[in-house]
Amino acid sequence: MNRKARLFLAIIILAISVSLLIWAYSPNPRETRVQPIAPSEMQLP
Amino acid sequence: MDKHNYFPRNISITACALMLILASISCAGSVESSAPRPASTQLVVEATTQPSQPTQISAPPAIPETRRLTLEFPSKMRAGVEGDIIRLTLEVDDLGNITPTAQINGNVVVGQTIEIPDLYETHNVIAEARLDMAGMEVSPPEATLEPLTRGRSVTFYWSIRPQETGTYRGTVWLHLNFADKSTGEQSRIAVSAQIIEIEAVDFFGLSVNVARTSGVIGSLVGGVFGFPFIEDIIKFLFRRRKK
Repeated sequence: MNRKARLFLAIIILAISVSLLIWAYSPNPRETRVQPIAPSEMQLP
Repeated sequence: MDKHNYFPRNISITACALMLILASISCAGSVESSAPRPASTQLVVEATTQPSQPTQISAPPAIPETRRLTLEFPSKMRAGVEGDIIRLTLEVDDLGNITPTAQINGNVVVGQTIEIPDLYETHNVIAEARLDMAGMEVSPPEATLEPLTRGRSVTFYWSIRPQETGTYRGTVWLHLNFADKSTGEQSRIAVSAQIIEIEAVDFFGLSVNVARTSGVIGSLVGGVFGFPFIEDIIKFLFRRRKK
């Protein structure tokens, strides 16, 4: 019983730690916007 | 009889020679000159009810390239010490050609050629970009200037760092500054103003540093706790595989 509780505790600690590491080191989601600019939008005022 | 045989051949040779002469005359007009030439021509076809001659309209100088503005930013990031990059690129769009537009509403069609002078010939063009975002550390905080030349892309970078969690809204501005090469007269236009929204988050109240440290320590502790059971786990897995 003691061994089972210890194993359960180890799994829980490992799961939480791995989740923390994944969250902390995962790259941020990035958004990209592309806007075409015609020559008429880049002329003298 | 011989004359009859040669007759069609003579006609075809004469026709070919005539075509060659006409082709060389027409090509002579398209030789590039060293003088500044209009950047591009745009054909606008308008419909009128009265027949008239094609007219030429002069347009203000413009940059003779279609460009593409690409804005890349993190939509969600971790609050605290970690920073990220916002990138704004004004690149030349290779596929973007100026296409003639036609508007046909009536019977008689009159073509108008608009000649757009090349702005690079007459002006120094400088791209100016700025990121306005309240509550977030932005570097550089002031506007950044980059000279814009023909066929070259310009890229602006900002480093951002949110100290607190929450949603940050800001605007990425892009202006073009024109300085007349002869008179020095300056003018400025706004090309783009894009609103961005960045969400700064934490892990159930834990900052990035705390999460990383806890993750490393927890993995070590979990490994130590679980180490005596590795043999049991392997045996259990093998038993399941045999079944």
